[in-house]
Amino acid sequence: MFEKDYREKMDEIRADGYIKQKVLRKINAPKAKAPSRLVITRVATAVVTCFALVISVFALKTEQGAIPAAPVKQVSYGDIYQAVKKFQPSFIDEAYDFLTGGWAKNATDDAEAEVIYEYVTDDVMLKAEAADDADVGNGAEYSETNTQVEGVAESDIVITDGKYIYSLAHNTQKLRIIKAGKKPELVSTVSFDKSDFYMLDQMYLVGKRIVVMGNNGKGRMGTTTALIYDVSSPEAPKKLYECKQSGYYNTSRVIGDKLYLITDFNITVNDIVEKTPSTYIPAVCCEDFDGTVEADTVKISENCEHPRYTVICGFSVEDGSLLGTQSVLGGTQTVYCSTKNIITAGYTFDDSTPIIRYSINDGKVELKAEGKIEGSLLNQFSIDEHKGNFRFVTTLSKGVETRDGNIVSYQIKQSNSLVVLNSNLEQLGAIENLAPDERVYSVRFMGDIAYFVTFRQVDPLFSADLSDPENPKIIGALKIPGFSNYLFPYGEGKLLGLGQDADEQTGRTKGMKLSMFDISDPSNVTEGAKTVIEEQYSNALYDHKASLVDYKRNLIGFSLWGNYGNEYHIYTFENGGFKQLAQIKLNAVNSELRGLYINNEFYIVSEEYIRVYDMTDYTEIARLEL
Amino acid sequence: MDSVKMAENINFASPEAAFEKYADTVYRLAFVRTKSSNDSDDILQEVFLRYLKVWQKMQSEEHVKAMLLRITVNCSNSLKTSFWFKKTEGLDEKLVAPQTCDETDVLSAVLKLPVKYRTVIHLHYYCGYSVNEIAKIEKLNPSTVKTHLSRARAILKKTIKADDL
Repeated sequence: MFEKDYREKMDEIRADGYIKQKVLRKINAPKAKAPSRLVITRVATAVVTCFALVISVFALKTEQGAIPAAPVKQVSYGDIYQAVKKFQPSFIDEAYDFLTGGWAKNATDDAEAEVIYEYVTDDVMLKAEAADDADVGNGAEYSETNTQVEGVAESDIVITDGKYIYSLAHNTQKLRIIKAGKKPELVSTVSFDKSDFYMLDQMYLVGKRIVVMGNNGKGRMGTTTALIYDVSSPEAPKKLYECKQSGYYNTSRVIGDKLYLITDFNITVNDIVEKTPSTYIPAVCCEDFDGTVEADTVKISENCEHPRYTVICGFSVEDGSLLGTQSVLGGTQTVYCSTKNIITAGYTFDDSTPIIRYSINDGKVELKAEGKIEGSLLNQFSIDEHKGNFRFVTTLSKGVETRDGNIVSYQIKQSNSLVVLNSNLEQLGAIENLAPDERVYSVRFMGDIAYFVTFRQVDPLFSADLSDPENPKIIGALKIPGFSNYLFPYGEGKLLGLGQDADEQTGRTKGMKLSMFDISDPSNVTEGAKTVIEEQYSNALYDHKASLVDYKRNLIGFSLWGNYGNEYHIYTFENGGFKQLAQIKLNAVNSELRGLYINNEFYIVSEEYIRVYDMTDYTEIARLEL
Repeated sequence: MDSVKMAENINFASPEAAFEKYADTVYRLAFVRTKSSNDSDDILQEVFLRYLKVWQKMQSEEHVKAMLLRITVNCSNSLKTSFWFKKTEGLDEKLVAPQTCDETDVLSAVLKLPVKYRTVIHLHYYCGYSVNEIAKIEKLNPSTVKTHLSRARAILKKTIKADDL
């Protein structure tokens, strides 16, 4: 009796909610600034301690000088722990930082790694093509995801194999498999709950397998999961494997049947425990691997400014095994992937971009070289690999202070450059100071020629000749109103620009614009045709996968939103001009739309419905509410 | 064990997680020992600020709880020896919160016990610790704890006629 009564009485006693919040705030900010009267003494101690620190840093520097390789090899978890620990904020570090002007910024070492660039044969590419040919023997003609590099698949939310349409519903967390045809039919649905994915991302179709990726878990660290389903019988998709790795989903690629998953793994520096490697080493969990990655697959980038890893893992879609992994302490923003290399581009505070090259081969990932370029990149199309060299188009923003008497004005000056690096990421050639006061809006590299658009009020489309990598030169510039957000090659001698039209005087955008550039003579590019859809904008301006650009069928499709609600427009390019094939009014949806075709039917797929149109006259033949 | 998940679970000992789980536990022990909600507020804050220094050494969930209770005991001890505590007279809790002080109430009976007896009664009957565990938390000899417990029981048996003790 006593025990029960006492417990009941005691349970009623609780700390006040307001007090609790106050305490919680205090423990969340343990490094709060010291009271002002204490500062002087603390600075004094800090300065004294700094001398000791400076000496030890010098000692470290000379030791490091003996190591010739640029990417410093790590040998044990302990070393990595020490490297991560450096990011722990402390009063002394802050004072030291203040005195030296930034201690975390390591000067780039001149010693360069002897990296021999292996030019892998085009096997991987051929295999990828063979896989494409082998699957779906029904000879159907169908559209594919709009990707950057041939042979490298990029994920999407709607995919078709000519027989079935696979669609990911983000709001309801579902994978739907729909049988295509004049009467589309929902064949099966796979539901994911919060334990599978906290947030669904995108998917791949690899042969008869569907790979669904997404973030798992909340919080600062996060986990990314790739679930591999067998869809050889679409009525009953079967979950085969689960691959997980630390960090939030950044991007991914599929080459052949190898999945490369790239995540950003933030370390909570105050919570690291040396004896528990999982607090500061990325972990991977799949069919044949479970645990933190080996210490020798972890590198520390020279340009690491944040305690954040880039984790790249190669998984086999065939058997869910881990083929290779590489983690680098140093964040990543933009990722480019060719059939042989992954280039990751990070960011720093001083408007430069650290670049890391990884070679990829059959799922194996290995860091090969590290470098740094001035300026920042726009997106993955700003990077390209050609004949073993790497090309970048960057925008450099610099704050310029001008003083006129007593008035000081601060202006951001922008200029653009094109940089060619070799496989060691050493600069071969560059064109600098292009289009001052403008920034890059879109880039497309096509072999020896690079096309890019900068914009402030009118749109110069530059073409640059990179056939001599050490001497890149601008060979053409076309000035037209508006700008293109994306440039897509469209058959022989043509470049399609998806962008926005703008007023020549004010630079105000007026609506979506389609341009077809004639690039048969790169030194004399002309805008062959254009069409403007006024006051309407499209997701295709922000996401290259949202548009359907198919040269073989001569189709350009994208969804639009504007004053007239949602619409889907389909264009074709014939006789030197754009011709609108269809202008389809759509119900408002709160999900992304994709358009695709299979044989002679055009499908508009959203989370809420699928509509089917006959491609001879674009009349609606069926709709399926989901 | 899914080691990817493990990285997230390691945070069971993090100050935020511990606060979420044990703030009330700490507060209750502080209240039993100080009999004042204001002092308990102070102790709650002090306990978690001290916990910030040690949480990375925690090995298990139980370890966290025991550590927090020990810090609570220490904090309330140091509060009693503080200048403020010695030189000021606390406002009688009875005046502030008369409803918690029913004469036949088990809680008020426990609160009337000397502080060392209150503590063992609370840790044993509310937190469910054994004599040996209480000895570790309070840094006392187990036989001392046993004595405290039996004397406390004897007093309670008289005051509230609790025969099941």
